[in-house]
Amino acid sequence: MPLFHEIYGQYFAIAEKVLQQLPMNKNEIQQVIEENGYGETLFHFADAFFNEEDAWHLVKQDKECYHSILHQLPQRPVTLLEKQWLKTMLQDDKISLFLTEAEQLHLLNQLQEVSVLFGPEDIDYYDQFQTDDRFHNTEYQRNIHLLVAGIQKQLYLEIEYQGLDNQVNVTHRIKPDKIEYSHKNNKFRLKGKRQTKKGKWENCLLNVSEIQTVRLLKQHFENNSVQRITEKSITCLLKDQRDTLERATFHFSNYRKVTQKLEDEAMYQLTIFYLAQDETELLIQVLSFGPFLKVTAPNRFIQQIQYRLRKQREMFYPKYLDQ
Amino acid sequence: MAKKFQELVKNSEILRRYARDFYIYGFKDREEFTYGSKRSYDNERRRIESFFSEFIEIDYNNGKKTLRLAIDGHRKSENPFQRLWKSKSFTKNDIFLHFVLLDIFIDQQKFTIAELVELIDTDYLSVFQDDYMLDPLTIRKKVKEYVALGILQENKQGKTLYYQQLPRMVLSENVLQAIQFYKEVFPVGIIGEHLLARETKIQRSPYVFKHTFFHQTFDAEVTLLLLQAIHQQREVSFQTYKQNDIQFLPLKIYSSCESGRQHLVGKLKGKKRLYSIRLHTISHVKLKAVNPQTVLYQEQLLKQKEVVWNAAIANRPTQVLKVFFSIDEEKEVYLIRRLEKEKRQGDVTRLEKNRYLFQIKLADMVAITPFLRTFFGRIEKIQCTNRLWEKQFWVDYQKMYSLYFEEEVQR
Repeated sequence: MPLFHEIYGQYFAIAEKVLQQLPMNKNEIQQVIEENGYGETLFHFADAFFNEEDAWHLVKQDKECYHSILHQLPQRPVTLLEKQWLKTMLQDDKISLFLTEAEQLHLLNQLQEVSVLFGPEDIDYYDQFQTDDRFHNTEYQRNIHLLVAGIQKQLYLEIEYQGLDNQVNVTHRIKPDKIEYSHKNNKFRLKGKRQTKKGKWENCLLNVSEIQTVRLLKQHFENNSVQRITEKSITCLLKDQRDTLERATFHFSNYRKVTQKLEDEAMYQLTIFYLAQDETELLIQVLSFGPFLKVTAPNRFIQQIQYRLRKQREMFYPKYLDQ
Repeated sequence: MAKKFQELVKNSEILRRYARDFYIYGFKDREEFTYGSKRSYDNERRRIESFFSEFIEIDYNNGKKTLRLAIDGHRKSENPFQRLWKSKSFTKNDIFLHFVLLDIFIDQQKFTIAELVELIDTDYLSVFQDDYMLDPLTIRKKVKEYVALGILQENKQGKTLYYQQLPRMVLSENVLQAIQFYKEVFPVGIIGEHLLARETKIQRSPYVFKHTFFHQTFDAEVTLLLLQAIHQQREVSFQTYKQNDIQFLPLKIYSSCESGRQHLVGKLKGKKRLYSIRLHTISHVKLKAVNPQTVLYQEQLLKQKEVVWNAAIANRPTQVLKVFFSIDEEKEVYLIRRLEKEKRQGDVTRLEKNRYLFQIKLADMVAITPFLRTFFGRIEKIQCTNRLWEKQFWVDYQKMYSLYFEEEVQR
């Protein structure tokens, strides 16, 4: 059962879309291809779709219009591989955040005949942080369901929140935007806008684990304000010793980055782009590379590293290194 | 005559390697790619430029062109690299039969191959004036293929084989929403992407992701086969960048949430100890026979796991590490939380106010070095039975210090 098969391919998907929408004229079909295809798809696809001589024989031209030769509207059925993946997905410990027990059972019944592809024990996320999100807790599950409903229906939310360091609950009025999941932290957070005391809206990020209650309000909001994102960058010199080039290029691959080879042997320049709120995390990641990665700009970032290194020297540092 | 360029490919392996290099490294010029001919580079680059056009960045260094895929992996709802798995080439018979067979089998009606041949001829091909024809063997082969894909089923009545479509599965809105989540974080998420692609109408995903590593998608096929082998306790054979034919009993995939690197852990045929191999270097995986001894090796791995920090399964005597931290309990609670969350199998003890001890037993101390470096500024003392490692840790610290305080060190 191959994963790399043409029935999952983009060309088949575009053909299905076109066949569902026919009759259309050539321009309209080309537009569907262009909207759904890759850079060169139109050229390759159109050639085989319209050309009667060496064509796919799925459409028939009648004057300006193309008609489907099919008698029904096509939709690709779910394959065995996809069913197996769904059954495997049902074993995940977070599944109740998305499907009720009845929904899980219903899906499982549809998949009775198929086996799972693998089990949770076959893959080990050995460096995943311990989480305080309680995926099995019904209150937590309910909160996630309400947050998703708020996002999809664009409804204001009233959220009671108790941060880890606070003793009291704070009630926020929120315009929810997205639920952010971090695999490393195994944690969900709500991204959105919170109303300040002065009535303005500011960006906020709330840990779902610290949300006490969620109330869906009846009033809809318009999602017209784009979140302002401040992107920052650091530039580093990388010395490719002890496999550092590969480790670093992989490690920072979830940031937008630019790697350039320098004239000195085994030296590279790495520029990493990040969001302001991720600065501490990036700093920690840079520190983990030790002397093989040196930040050269900006100064403010360098100073943070210097502060930690100096503090370490003051706290403890083996004397034999000075000899 | 040179073959005409095609956007689609028969085999994903070469494309997988090029795409990874453009994304992970992004500094290599045409001369530095050694996977195939220069022409192969040109073709793969052209494909990648076509598939990922909005993410392409080009640099010129000393007159040499380098191409990179610049994607910010943070907080995206979709992984663009899933497109790679939608690029399989096909013939005109493949696409014609796909749509026509599904059209014929739309309800639960049964057909023999002979009936299908007849139907295709009279109901579909007859509308064309040209001489396009399909022989019964091609149709039979395609029908058998769709049985294997789990779309059609084969039944015998007397001596005759009949084919019909398996009952159609309809996915509810909530299931689709669950797939929107799992396709980005679950192994072989591309299958979820395929499931969503067949839906005509779908709501915008309410999720975004942090710390997901898009490049893992390049290894989807290898990951799928290895996970199946592990689950079924089967041996496998595969190739790596260095070796052509490796016989291996896979036991577990070790996947890093911090760096996105993945390793296959298991037993090399003929060797006693366990090995870990970087997953992205593996290709051409073939599933072999079930190994009845798998459970024994799983137990061996479980035992070794207790003294391993990451995916490097070391086979050395266990050493003890004690790290004493000085942390301000009032102002730096987040650091105590970090220790608790990131300690893995280690222990964290509060010794007295503002003093904490982290203890762990490991077979390979080198693996924990990066983690400890992130606590520079708080380490009060380190005690390790591996003195050589301990010395290297501080030598590296000193080097790092000199990097950032060059003038001070020179004085």
